[in-house]
Amino acid sequence: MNYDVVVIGAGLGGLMAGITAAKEGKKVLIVGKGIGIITIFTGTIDYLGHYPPEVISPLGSPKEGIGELIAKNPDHPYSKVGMKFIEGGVSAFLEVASSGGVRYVGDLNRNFLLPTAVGTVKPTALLSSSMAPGDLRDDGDVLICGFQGLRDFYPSYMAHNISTLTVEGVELPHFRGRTVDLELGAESSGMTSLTLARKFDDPDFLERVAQALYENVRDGERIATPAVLGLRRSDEVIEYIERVINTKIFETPTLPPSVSGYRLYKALEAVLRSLKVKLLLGYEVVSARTENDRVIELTISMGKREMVLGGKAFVLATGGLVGRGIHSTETSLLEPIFGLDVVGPKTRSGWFNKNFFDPAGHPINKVGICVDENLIPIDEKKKPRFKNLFVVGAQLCGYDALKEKSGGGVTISSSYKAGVLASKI
Amino acid sequence: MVIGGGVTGTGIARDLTLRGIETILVERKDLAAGATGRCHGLLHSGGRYAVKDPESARECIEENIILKKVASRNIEDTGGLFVRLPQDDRKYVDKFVTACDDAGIETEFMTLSEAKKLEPNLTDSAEEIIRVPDAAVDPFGLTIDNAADSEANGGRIMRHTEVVGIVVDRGRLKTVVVKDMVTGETHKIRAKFAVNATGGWAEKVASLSGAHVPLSLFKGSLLIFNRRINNRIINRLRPPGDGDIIVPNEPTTIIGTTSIQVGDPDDFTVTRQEVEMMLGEAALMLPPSEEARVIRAYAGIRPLLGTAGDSNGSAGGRDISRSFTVIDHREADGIEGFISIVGGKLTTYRLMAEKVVDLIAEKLGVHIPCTTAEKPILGSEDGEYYKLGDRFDKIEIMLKKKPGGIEEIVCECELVTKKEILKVIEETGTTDLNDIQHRTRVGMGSCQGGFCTYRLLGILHELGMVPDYEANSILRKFLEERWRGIRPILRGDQLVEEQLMEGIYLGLFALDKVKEGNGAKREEE
Amino acid sequence: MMKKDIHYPADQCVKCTVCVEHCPVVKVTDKFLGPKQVGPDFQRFRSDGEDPHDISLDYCTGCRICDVVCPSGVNISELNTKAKIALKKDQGISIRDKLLSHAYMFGHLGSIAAPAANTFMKSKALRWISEKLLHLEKDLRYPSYTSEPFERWIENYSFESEKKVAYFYGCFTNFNDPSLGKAVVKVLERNGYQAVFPKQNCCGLPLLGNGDIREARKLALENLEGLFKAADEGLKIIYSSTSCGMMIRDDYATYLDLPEAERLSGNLVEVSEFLWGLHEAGELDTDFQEVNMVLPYHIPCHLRSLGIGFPSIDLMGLVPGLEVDELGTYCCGLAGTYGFKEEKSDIANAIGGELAELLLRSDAEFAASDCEACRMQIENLSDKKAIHPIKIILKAYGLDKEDEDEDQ
Repeated sequence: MNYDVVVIGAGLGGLMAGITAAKEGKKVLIVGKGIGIITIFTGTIDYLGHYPPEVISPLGSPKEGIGELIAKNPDHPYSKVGMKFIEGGVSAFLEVASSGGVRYVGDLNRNFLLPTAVGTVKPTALLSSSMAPGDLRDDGDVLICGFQGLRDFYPSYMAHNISTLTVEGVELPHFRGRTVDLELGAESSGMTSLTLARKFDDPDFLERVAQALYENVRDGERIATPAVLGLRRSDEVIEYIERVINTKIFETPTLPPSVSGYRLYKALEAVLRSLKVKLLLGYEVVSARTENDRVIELTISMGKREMVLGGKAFVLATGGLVGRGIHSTETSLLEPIFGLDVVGPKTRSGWFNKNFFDPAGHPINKVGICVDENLIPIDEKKKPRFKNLFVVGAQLCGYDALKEKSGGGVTISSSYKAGVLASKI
Repeated sequence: MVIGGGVTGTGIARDLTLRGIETILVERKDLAAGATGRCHGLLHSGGRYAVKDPESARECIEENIILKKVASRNIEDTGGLFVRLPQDDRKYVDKFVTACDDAGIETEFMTLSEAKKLEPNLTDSAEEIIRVPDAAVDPFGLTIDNAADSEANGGRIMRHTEVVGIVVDRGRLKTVVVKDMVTGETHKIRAKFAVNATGGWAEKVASLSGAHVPLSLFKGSLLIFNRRINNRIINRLRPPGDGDIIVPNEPTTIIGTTSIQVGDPDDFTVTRQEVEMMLGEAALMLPPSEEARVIRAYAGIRPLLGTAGDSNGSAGGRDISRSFTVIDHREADGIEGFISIVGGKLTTYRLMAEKVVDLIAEKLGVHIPCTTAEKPILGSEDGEYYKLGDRFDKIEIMLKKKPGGIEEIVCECELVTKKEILKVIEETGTTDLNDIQHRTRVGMGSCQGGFCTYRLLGILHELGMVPDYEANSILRKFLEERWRGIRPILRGDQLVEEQLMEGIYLGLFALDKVKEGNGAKREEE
Repeated sequence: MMKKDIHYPADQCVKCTVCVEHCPVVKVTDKFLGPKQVGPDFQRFRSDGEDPHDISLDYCTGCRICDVVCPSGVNISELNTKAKIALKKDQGISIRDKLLSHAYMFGHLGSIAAPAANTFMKSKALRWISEKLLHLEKDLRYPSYTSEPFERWIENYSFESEKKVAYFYGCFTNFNDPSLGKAVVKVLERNGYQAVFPKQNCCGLPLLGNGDIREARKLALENLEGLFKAADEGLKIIYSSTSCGMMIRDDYATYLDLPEAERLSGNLVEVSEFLWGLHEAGELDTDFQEVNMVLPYHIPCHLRSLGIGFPSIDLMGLVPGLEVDELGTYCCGLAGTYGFKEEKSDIANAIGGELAELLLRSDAEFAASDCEACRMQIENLSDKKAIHPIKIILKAYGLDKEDEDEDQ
C-alpha cells in the first residue's frame, strides 16, 4: 500500500512525526517493532537540563541554554533543527497531548525543578499537570506519601536524600516521608503501579485514599505520591483529592513500568486514531528498496506475511542504540535498514570511559546518524544520502541526552520538523 | 587463628573445630572475596590435569567423589565432556584416556549424536567426545556452609576484619593485630597457631611476620553469559590452554580462563584481548555462544608458589604445579606457630585443609582424626544435589501462599525474594550490598542489578539499616563498581540493557548530578 | 527476526517492562506476575528436559499483546504458552476445562436438537450445574445453537466458477453463526469466486489454550489433510475467524510439532485480507451502496499478531457513508474459554471494562469485530449487535436482504 509519509519507529519521535504529518493532511503510516520507551519512562519532556553537559547545577532557562548551544555547537541536533522549529514543536506537542487527553504544562523559558524518587533534582521543561506542583521553588513543605503494598517507592529514602542536597539559588523545602495503609488486604501486597492506578476508577477507593491523605497532611504542606493517581486520566482524580486535602498533590515517577509514561503513550495513540494514522506494531522492516537518492518502499513483516509499504517520504525514528535503530557488535556499529553511516568513535576502545559517572559521559552515547539542517542523513563526506528520508530523535548523532537531559526535547523538536518537511515531499 | 575466609580458610576452620581445636577466622572482606569467589565454579574430575600433572589429577578425582558426598547441596551434578576439535592433536586423546585411567577418573566415549542430544548447542565439528565426572559447584555456598558448620561447632568467624600486624617474639608467633574495617578499631588476638590461607595475598600477609612466601600471581579472567548455553561442563580435549572450559552456573554459562602474570593481588581488570580470545574459544565449542549475550567479565588471582622465571605469564602459569604446599614457617623462616597454605584449587580445598590441620593437630598433641571426608557439611546432610529448578520451586511455594507475590520478589532476574534477603541480614548482620549479593544472587542476573539495587537499598533504608543520608552514596558506589565488570563486554543486547539502565539511573533518577558530601542535613522526623 | 533456539529470547529481553505495562491482565489483577517475569525472566531457569513452571501462568489469557508491543522482538507468548503446556501436563486438565475446550463436540449435539438445546442452555438447572459443579462463570451466556449447521447448508451450495477459493469456516460459524459463513460465500460469489469446503473440524485453539496438546494435534492432523489438498490444487484458503487463522497458520507448527503446516502459510488468508488483495489487483467489485452509519470496531487481539495489518478496516473504508470508529481497545477480555471460568470471569470482565465503556458511550446499533469471541463479549458487555465486518460488505453489496436465517 502507498502512503504519503511512512514512519519507522513507534516511540515518541515516530508518533510525533506521524501526527505532525497527518495534521498537514497527509496519509501516514507508522510501523514499529514495538512500542518505544516513552511508555515506561516519566513522560516528562526534558529540553535542556544542564549546560554545558558536565555541569551539576540545573539550567534555569532551556531557551537561553539552547541558544548558547546552537551558537557554539553546530553539530548538535538542536542546531540542525533551529529555534523556530524547536519552539514550534513545543506548541505542537502541548496541543497534541491535550487533544489526546493529558494536560501538559511548561515552556522553554524556565525549567521546572522536580524532586526524583531517590531524592535528587531533575530539571524538565514540559510535564504533566499532575507533576507540576512538585517544583521545588513552589511554596510548601512536602509530605511524601507511599502506599502500602506498592513497591519501588520509598518515602523516607527520598526524604532523607533530598535533604542532603543544595541547589544554587534555591531554598529547598522540608521533606518528610510516610507510608499510607490503604487497607487493601493481603491480596494486594504486590501491586504494580498499574494495578494501583486502575483502582482509582472506583469512587469508593478514591474517597478512602483522599481521606487517608487528608489525615496525614499538615498545614502548609503539599503531598507527593508515586505516579498512580489514575490510569488514564489523572486530572479528575487529582481534582477530587485536592478538594478533600485542601492543598496541592503531585506525582513522582519511579522505576518502570510507569503510569505517567503510559498515559502519554495512550494519549498519542488516541490522537493517531482520530487523525486516521495507521499504526502497525510488532513489525520489523525486513528490507528497504531505494533508487539512487530516493527511498521507494519498505518491506515489513511480523514473521510470516510480508507487506510492502510505498511512500513519498520516510522518517527514521528507530531510537538509536536503546531502540535498536543502531546495532552494536563486538567491533562495530551499524544502521541496519538503510546502511547509513554511523558517526561515533572509530574503535571500541573509544566507546566507554573508565568511570561510570564520568562527568564527560561516555562517547558511545553520542553515536548516531548525522544529518543536515533538513534532517536528511548525510554520509561521511557530508553528502545527503536520500532526499526523502528524515532522521529524528535518539537516532541522531552529536548529543548526549543523558548528560545534558535533553532526550525528549531533541526528539520532539526533530520529529516535529521532520513531520513538517516530510509533508512537503 | 585462620587468616582468610575463602574456601580453604573456612575449610580449615571447620576441620579444626571438628577436632575440638578452638578456632577464630578473620577475613578482611566477606567470605569468598578472593579467588574462591572469582573462579569457574568447577568441581574438577581431574581430566584436565591427568596428562601433565597426574598427582594433581588423582587428588582431584578423590576430592570430587568426597565433596559430592559431603557438600552435595552446593553441587550440581552436571557431568562434563571433553571435546576434541579438528585442529586439536589426535594423539592427545590416547594420552588423556590412559592418564585418566591411571588416576582413577572414569571416562566414556560418546558419539556426536549422543552428545548433541544432551548438549544441542555443541558444535558439529566435534570429532571426539569423552564423558567425565566433572560437576558445577557454588563456591559461595560451599564457603558459607563451611563457615557456618565451624560456627556450629564453636568456631568464631570475624568478617570485615583485616590482619594488620603479626607479632613474633623470640621465634614464636605471639599475637595477631587485626583491624575492624567497619569501626576502624584494632584488636590484638593471641593464638598458638596462625594459618595464612589468604591466597593471592599470602606473600603480603606472611611478610607481616617477617616470613617469606614467594608467589607468582596469575590473573584468570572469565566471562558470564546471560543464559545457559550448555548443561554440563564442556572442556577442550587438548593440553590445557586458555578459554577452554565452559561451565553452567546457576542460570548462566561461564567461560574461562586466561593466565596472565600480574604483580598486584587486587588487580582484577579484564582486558579486551582476554574478552575477544575467550569469546572466540567458546564459539568453537558452542557456536550459538557467538551471538549470545554476555553480562559480566571478572577475574580472580591464582597464586602459585615459586617464580615463573620468564615474563611470558601464560606458559609459566600453567607449568607451575597446581598441587598445593603447606609451609611450616618454623622450618622455612624460624617462626614457630605460623603456617602458610599456598596453591591448590577449589576442588582440593578439603584435602588442603586436612593437611594443614593434621600438622597443627600433631603440634598440639590433638589425636582426633580428620572426619571431613565423611561427615556432611552443615546443610548437605540429605545428600541432595542442587538443581537449577530449585530456585523456581521456592517461588512457586511463595505464590501458593500469597497469590499477589510481586512485592516479595526483589530481583526478578535471579528470583531473589525479600524474605531471603532479610534472612541474610538477620543471620550475618551485614548491610553491605556486595555481601548480600554474593549470598543471594541479587543483582547477578541479566540487568546486573539495574532494578533491584534501588529496590534493595529502599528496603534496607526502610528497615533503618542504611545510614539515613548515605543511601545515594552507596548506590553510586555500587554502580561505579558494577561498571568495571560490564565495561569490557558491552555490545548487542547487553549494550541495549545498559542504555536502559542509564536511562533509569541518569535519566529518571539524575544520580549523576549529585555533588558528593553535599548539603546541610536538615532535621528529619 | 531470526528465531533461534527456545532459550534465545532470554537474551533479547532487556527488562524494559513495556510488555507488563500493556498486558491486559496485569492491570486488573495481582494474580498474574506479568509477561516479563513468567516469560523471559523464568526462561533462564527452564532447562531442556525439566521445565519448571509457575501457577500464575494460568492467568495468562493468551492474547499475545506482549509480543506485539515488545520493542526487542521477544516472542514472549511462545515462552508462556509452552510453559503453560508443561504446567498442564504436570497438573492435569480439569473436567471443566476439558468440557470447555471440546465445545465443538457439543456443537454437533447442540445442532441436532437446537431448540431443546438452547432452552437447556438458558435453564436454571444448567446454571446450577455449571456454577456449583463445574466452576463455570455464573452469569453464563452461552451462544445459542443453530438448527441448520453451516456444514449442512453447504450441501445445497451450487455456485460454480473457474475461480475457486477454499474456505475454513470454523466451528463457531458452523454451529452457532452460519449466517457469517453464508455472508462470506455470497461476497465471494459476487466477485466470481466459488467457495470449496475442505474437510474440516475445530481448529483446536481452545484445546491448545487449555494445554491439551494431544487432542489439539489430532484435530490438526484431521484439518491438515483437507487443507493440504486445497493447497496442492493451488487454492487460497480463506478463514473468517482470526483466531482459527492464527492457530492453523502459526500455532500448528510452533506448538503441535507439525512443521509441515508451514507450507500452508502462503495459502492461508483472512477473508478481508483476501478481498483487499483483490482490490489491490483491481479485481474487487467495488459497486457498493451507501451504508450510512458510525460503526464501532474492535481489533481482535489475535489479529494484531497475525501480521496482516488491519484489512477489514481498509476494506470497510471503501464503503461510502460508513465511518469506522476503531476503538483502540487491545483485548475484549473473553479470551476464548477463559472468560467462562468462574475464577477468571471477574478478570475477563475487568479487562473488557474499557471496551464496555466505549460501547456504552456510542449510540450505534452495531459493533464489529473479526473474531467470534470478541463478538460474544461485545454482546455480553453492551446492547449492541455484534457483526463480522464481512456483513457490512454484504450489506454494501445489497445482498443482506436475501438472508433468511433467524440466527442473525
